[in-house]
Order: sequence, then C-alpha cells, then structure tokens
Amino acid sequence: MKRYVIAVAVVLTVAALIAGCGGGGEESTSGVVTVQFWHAMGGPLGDALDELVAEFNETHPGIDIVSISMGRYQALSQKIMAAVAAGQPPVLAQAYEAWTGELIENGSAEPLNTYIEGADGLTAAEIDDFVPGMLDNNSWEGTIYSFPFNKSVRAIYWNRDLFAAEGLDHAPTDWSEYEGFARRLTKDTDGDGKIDQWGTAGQISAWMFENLLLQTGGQILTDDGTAVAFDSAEGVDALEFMVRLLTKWGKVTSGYEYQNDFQAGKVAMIEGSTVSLSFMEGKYTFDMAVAPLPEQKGKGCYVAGTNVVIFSNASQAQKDAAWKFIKWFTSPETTARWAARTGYAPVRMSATASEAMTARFAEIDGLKEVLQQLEFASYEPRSGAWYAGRKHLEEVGVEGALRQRMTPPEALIEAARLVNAALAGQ
Amino acid sequence: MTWLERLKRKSYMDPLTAALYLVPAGIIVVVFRMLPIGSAFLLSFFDVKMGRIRGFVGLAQYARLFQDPTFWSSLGTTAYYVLGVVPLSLFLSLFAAVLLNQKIRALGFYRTVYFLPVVTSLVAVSMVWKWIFHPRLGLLNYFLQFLGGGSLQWLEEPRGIFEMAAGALDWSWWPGGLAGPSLALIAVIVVAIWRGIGYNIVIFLAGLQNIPDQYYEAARIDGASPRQVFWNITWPLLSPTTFYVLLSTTIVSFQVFTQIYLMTGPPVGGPMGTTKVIVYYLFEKGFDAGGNMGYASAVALVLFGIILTLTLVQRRIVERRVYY
Repeated sequence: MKRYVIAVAVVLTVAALIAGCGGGGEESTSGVVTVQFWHAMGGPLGDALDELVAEFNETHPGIDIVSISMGRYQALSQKIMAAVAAGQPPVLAQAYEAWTGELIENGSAEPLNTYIEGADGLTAAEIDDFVPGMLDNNSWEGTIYSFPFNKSVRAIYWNRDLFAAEGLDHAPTDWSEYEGFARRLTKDTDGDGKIDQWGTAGQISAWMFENLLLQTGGQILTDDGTAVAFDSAEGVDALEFMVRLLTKWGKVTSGYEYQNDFQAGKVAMIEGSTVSLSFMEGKYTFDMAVAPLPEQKGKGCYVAGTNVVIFSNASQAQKDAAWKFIKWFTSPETTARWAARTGYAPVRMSATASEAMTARFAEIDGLKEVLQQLEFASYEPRSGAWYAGRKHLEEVGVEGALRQRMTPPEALIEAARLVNAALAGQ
Repeated sequence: MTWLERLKRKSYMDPLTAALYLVPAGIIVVVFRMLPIGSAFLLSFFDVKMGRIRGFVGLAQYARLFQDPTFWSSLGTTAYYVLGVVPLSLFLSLFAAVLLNQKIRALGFYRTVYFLPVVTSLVAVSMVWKWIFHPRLGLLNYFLQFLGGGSLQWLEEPRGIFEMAAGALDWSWWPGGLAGPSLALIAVIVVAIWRGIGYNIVIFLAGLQNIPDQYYEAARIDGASPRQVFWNITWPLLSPTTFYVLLSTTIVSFQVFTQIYLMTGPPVGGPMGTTKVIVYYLFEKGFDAGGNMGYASAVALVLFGIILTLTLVQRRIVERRVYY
C-alpha cells in the first residue's frame, strides 16, 4: 500500500511539472497581466533594460513585463523560431527586420496599426517625431509590425591625447585623413623595433565593410534584392581600404579586444558602434571623443540594432500590455534615458533636446554629431535571404581578406558566389 | 486463472513476457527515435517554415542541397573531424586500457582520472578549453612562449595545418589546395579526443577482462614476449570490442555539435567557416531566421544515409577480421 501511495505521488508530481512547463504564457489569476519579453541584451545593456522594465512594472500596476535575456542575437532568433514552431512564443521580443519578415509571412507578428490608431495610440505629431526612416523600416506594405527599440550607428572613437601628441586636433573627416592619421599614429614609442601604438584596430565586421561600401557609392544587393552588388569596383575599393587600414596601420583582434586596447591607450582610434560607449564607461583615463564616420564619395551610415514585435498568439490583454510597454519605452523621455545610458540612438527627434541627452552630449564630445548621422542613415536589405547570406560576406568576404587568405577582389567574388547561392535558395 | 496469474506461471523466457519487458524501452525508442526519423523523412519533401507545412516540393530540397557549396564544405570539415578523432581516440584509449589492465599501484586513481572528462559537463569542458586556447590569455600559448616558441591563434586560425607546416618549413612546392583542416578544427579535435577517451577506455577494459587468463598463462609458459602476447592473444580476442568502439566513435563523431557550438566563433563555425560541421549546418538551416525545417530534414537524412553506408561498409570490411 505504501509503495502504491509513493507511486501515485511520483506520477502526480511529474504531471504537475509537465503542466507547469506548458503554462509559460498564461495569465495569472490575480489580475496581473504577465508579458514575457525575450531579448538579447547582456552586460551593461541588460542591466539598463532590466532597470527600465522594473520602473515600468512599478508605475503600471496590473502589468508584469518579465525580461528574459537569451544571450546572443543568433540564440534569440533560434529560440524565437523554435518557440513559434512549437506554438509557444513569448508575447514580446526583440527582432531584426529579417526575422519580423519571416514572422509576418507565418502570421505570427501582430500588426500594430490598430494600436497606434487606438485610444491608447500615438498622435500624428508623435509619429512624426520618430527618427525619419525608422518607422518605414518597420513597415511591410503599409502596415507597421514592429517598433524601433535599440538602434545604433557607427562612430570613430578617438584618443585626443594621442592625437595631440602627433599635432592632430580633429578626428578624420574623409578616407585619406582616416588612413593618413592612422599611419602617423602607428608608432614604435620605445625604439625596440616593435610597434607599441597602433593607429587603429578593429574586429572582423561586415557592418564596417557595408558602411565603407556606402561611403564609396556602392550597394549591398541589386535594387530588386535578388543578387549581390557588393562584388563591384566600389566593393573592392572599400575592402582594400579596410584591409590596408586594419592590417598596415592597425590590427585585427578577436571579439572586442580592440576596445580594451583603445581603453588602454595602445590604439589611437577605433571605429565601433555607439553602444560601445556603455561598455567603455569609466574604463579610460584619457581625453576621449567620438566623431561621425569619415566620408569618401559621400557620407554613408547603416543603422544596426533590433526592433520589438508583439506575437499574435498572445491574449488581447497581453498584447495591450505589451503595446503599453512599447509606447512607454519609445516615448521621448524613456528613449532619451535609454540612449543616454546605453549609447543606443534615441528613436525620437525631440529626445535629443531632453535633459538626459543634453547632459550626455556635454559628457561625450562629438556624440551629438554622431547621432545626427541618423538623418541620412540607410538600412540594410530586410529579406531573410540576405540575413542568411550576410554571414558569408562576413566570414568569407571580410574575414578572408582581413586574415589575408585572399586578396579583396578574390574574397568578394567568393563571398558573392556563396551569398548568391543563399539568395537563390529562398 | 487471470491473465496475470498465467503470466506469473509462465517461464521467464516466455516470448510474451519478454515482449512485455521490452515495452517500456520500446516505447521510448519508437517515440523519440523512430517517429522523428520517419517524420524527418516525410518533412524533407515539404517546404516547412516555423512548424508550418507550406507545400510539397518533392526532391527539390535535395537538389538544392547538393548545389550548395556550404553543404559540401561542411561535409569536408566533418570528414576531417572524423578522420582526426576516430583513429587517434581508438589508439590512445586502447593503449591506456592495456596499461590500466595491469596490476599497478593506484589503479583506481588512474581509472578515475581518465574517466573524469566523460562525466564532466561538455558545456563546462568546452568553455574551459576555449580559455586554454585563447590566443592572448590562454594557458597553451603561455606554455609555448615559456618553452621559447611563438604563440598560435588556435581557435581563431583559419589556415590549414599542412599549409602552416609547409610555410614553416619553406616548402613552397606544397600545393595550395592541400591546406588540410584548419588549426581551429584541430583544437576542437584535441578536445573531442581528450573528452571521449575515458568512455572508450572503460569499454576496452571490460573487453580486456573478458579474455580468459588461461590464454595468457599458456603464453607465458610457452615463453611468449609481451608483444607476441598482445598481437596473438589480446588483439584478436579484443576485436569484437574494438569493432564496437570503432563503430560507435565514428557515428558519434559524425554527429558532433556541442563543442563546435560552444568553442568556435562568433560566428559559430568560424574562423572562416572552417569548423562548420554538417550538424551545425543542419541546425543553422533549420533554426536560424529564414531557416526551413524541410531543408534541414533533408540534410539530416543525407547525414543518416552517409552514416548508415559507412557503418555497412565497416561491417563488410572490418567485421571479417573480428573473432567472436
């Protein structure tokens, strides 16, 4: 008899556990709407996000946003896709445009127009206040499916002290200055025949290449998005420049080590996302400033970062709560604080005049000009095919050339072959 | 007489009873092995995105698969991995097992040490080794420099090892196409061998202890040398075990995923895609944004076919030399 009781207890416990696992997206009975929010914010970014989420939860009784970090973006995308396939998506998640496109096709992304136009929506003036282009980039055939959340642009970070020692008083404004300054700042300071101070440093990054490509007048894909266009004379120009810059007057480091070297004063300037600010905060002692990217044939700047989507499986109460969060998060006041804290671009124009951003501009010299790049910024192709193909550009095109396994033209031809195969496969 | 009483009276070997005992394991095998294999087979003929079947495409995905250059390169990488892991792992574990089969002091200690990596979480193992291989802060480069050598890029080195060796020896005649597996892949192979050896040792030890002592005694009386004893008694009588270890190590090696996922990149499979093995390729094609489960299923079935063929070939060729 005793054994029987134990067996029943075990079965019941297991059943309860299994039932508990399946109940992730349910609303609790206490009247509080729980909204699972999956994101890929870690380190200082995750801390900043968690604090804002906690503040939202405190000021919005009845809503509980549960912030869950999934690690890297790639892991986040894999988890979202698997969760959607299993019919258990979260309510809210960060998503690149390419992921949103997939979700729309699958009928999993909630159209947001009714929320924007609804009672708790946004006025026309508020819509106009969003950074130009951002909402368009979140629209598919006239319907808005996602909202800009954490958007960043690239910037030059420069060490004023090292520049001054070389008689330089400004960050490079064009490619010839970029390379010339990097050359002058590459030095053997103690005379042992080894270089101790590099002009620049960077990591293997398709994003850097894409920006250079834009500055020299090239484009990533053909206008209809069906074939590669980066294997052009402009592409070779951009990649050759990148290789010269980072292998002659700089070095390629793994991961974010180039940031550490810059903080340590071993590298005079680096190019990086505005978000690097939050990772470098308080870790350097020299006079640091940021500047917009140098231009070549023209200015060029691709926006990076993700948006947020609401999943259509969620209950109406959850979707309404998620919308409230999006509206609050992208309000001029919150986006300004988020931006000042993390280095992401504020998504509202009026946010630049806010107290938080004014204080931040005073702290970081040049940040205002860096963020002004948003006014002419471009966005990468949004197709899932390009998202899959982009990896090849990075690991064959850019990495192949930077590690000097191939010449830039060879690397681009090889990358183009692989990306075109990926584009054709969709 | 109820069916239960009848069951109780029947002998242990009764086929019905045997079948009944097999049911629990059978259910698990069918539900978690057979059904997924069957559904993967079916899915490979369909366009499947995010769990939604969007249409029948016949063999189109197989055709696309064979035209994808990344599929072939990941297959090549997997072949390098298997060729790197299987022979060395087999040799080292057999060698260690023979030594551990002697009557030496602290035997339990040694057996434990060799088995420790097997019971350690693969995730933890991968992270620790990733640090050991770190180009600037890693232990391995520290030792290399201590011994007067230069440092290597290890997991970040896309150059093939033959190419690196030819470069170091100034063999300019070495053909550029024969670069070999990247040093990054070699680093992963080293960890795989280190990690898998303990398990194989245990299997080999069990095999060794199954060999009756009389043969060894007889050999000793006849004055056989240790080498003769090994080649004429141990090796042939151990052959069923060796065959099993060969098969299982080959199969497991073809399916390597975790170490690649954790140790390489970002992006995973780097540097320059030289550690992208077939199962990671499958995962990427199925789970990344823009992925297609149907296509990934096709990859899985091709891999299944490859492993099955290889196993059959091994049985044909190797099993003839096995003494049961």
